[in-house]
Amino acid sequence: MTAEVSKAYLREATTGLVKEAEVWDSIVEQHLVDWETEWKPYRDMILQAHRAAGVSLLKWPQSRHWDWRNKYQCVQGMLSTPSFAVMCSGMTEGLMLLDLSLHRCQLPEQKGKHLVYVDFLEVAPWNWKTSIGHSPRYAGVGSLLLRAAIERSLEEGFKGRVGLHALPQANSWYGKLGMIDFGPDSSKSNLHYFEMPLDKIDSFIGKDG
Amino acid sequence: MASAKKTMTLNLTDAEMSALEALSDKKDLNKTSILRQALRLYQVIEARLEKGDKLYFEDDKTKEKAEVVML
Amino acid sequence: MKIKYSEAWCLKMADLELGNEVGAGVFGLAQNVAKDAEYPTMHSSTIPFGRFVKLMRRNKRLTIEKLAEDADIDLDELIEIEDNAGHVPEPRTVYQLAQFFEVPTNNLMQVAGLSSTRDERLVNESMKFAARSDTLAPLSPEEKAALEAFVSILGRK
Repeated sequence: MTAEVSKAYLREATTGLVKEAEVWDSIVEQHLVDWETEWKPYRDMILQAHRAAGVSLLKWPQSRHWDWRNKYQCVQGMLSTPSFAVMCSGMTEGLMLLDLSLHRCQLPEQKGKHLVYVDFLEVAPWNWKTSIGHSPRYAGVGSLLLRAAIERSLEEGFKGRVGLHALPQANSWYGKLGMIDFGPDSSKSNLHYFEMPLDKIDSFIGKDG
Repeated sequence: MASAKKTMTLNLTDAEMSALEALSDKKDLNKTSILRQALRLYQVIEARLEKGDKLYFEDDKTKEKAEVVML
Repeated sequence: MKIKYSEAWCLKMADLELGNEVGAGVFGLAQNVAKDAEYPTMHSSTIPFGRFVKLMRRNKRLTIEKLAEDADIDLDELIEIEDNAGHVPEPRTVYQLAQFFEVPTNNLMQVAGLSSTRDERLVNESMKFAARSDTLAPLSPEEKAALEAFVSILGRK
């Protein structure tokens, strides 16, 4: 299985420079290797910094438990769970898993309709914004991935409808994008469920300028 | 994965075609999208059953569960 | 699938995204927590926490399932907490249990090893409590007394 690659751009946060990036429409072995050999050690370094600084666990990076290889192996070959990856300068910068079958829209005007559910979305730990002990490297990875989810939804005939459970530290971001916040979902560790209304889909992908 | 698509001809009875059209109307999806969605669901259910999971329907009011027996 | 990202769109979004976390998806799934051996911890043992939860539950005559349901926590994690001394609980779970058992969250967080503050007295009392309580036997008057004494210590600020 080969992935198709789309060209995109990221902002290097430290220098302000524009960097060419790639959005892959499937996670491949190389991305998992990057996760194991680059993401994990960096993540551990950040966690050590949090520990050394005595930061309350409640404020630690909230995706620290995720195991991408394990997750990917569980869904490999399944049509209902496409995956995406963002790469820049040969390094994996973000990973995402979608689900096309098991979730339906919650918004009253589109209730029960099919949507693309973002099962997992994570950026490389050096891009984490609220962690201590480092300056985030790239900005824009999360947007490229969310855009890919919306494009997949359009391709499936789901009209761009997307939903997700945001990590608490990301609630403000998805609110800023105009997604509707359904509040804490007790069936999902009280993460807030967000769904994008149709008019915000157009403005997000830039159709209305 | 690369999205090069293959075309096939599907022979459906009138009843099957009208069921497909009804679903297509109800879900606001074209017929191809409905069939793609059906295939995905079928694959998910089959994979879960192979793992030893069971499929249940739950009555919303009585909370009664009935196992869907899949052969 | 091919996606047309324009440079202008990418940079507009990148600048908007700057300073925001973007992660999504349910975290801390049981399968991952169990594997997270490298997870850095701030404590040497969560035995007192597991004992505390188990005895409080038995004292209220609740099954594990019922406690998980009533306190709105994952069944898998509750089992880990009670039976796996090395398990580091999720902060949310400890919070929910503190609410349910009506003890101060901060103190329970510390007993669970999730707080960077370290109150030596509470640590000592926790270990004494763990030593005095036997989780295998039915809740004896002694266990009950040990539990009640520990609850009163937890309750003191």
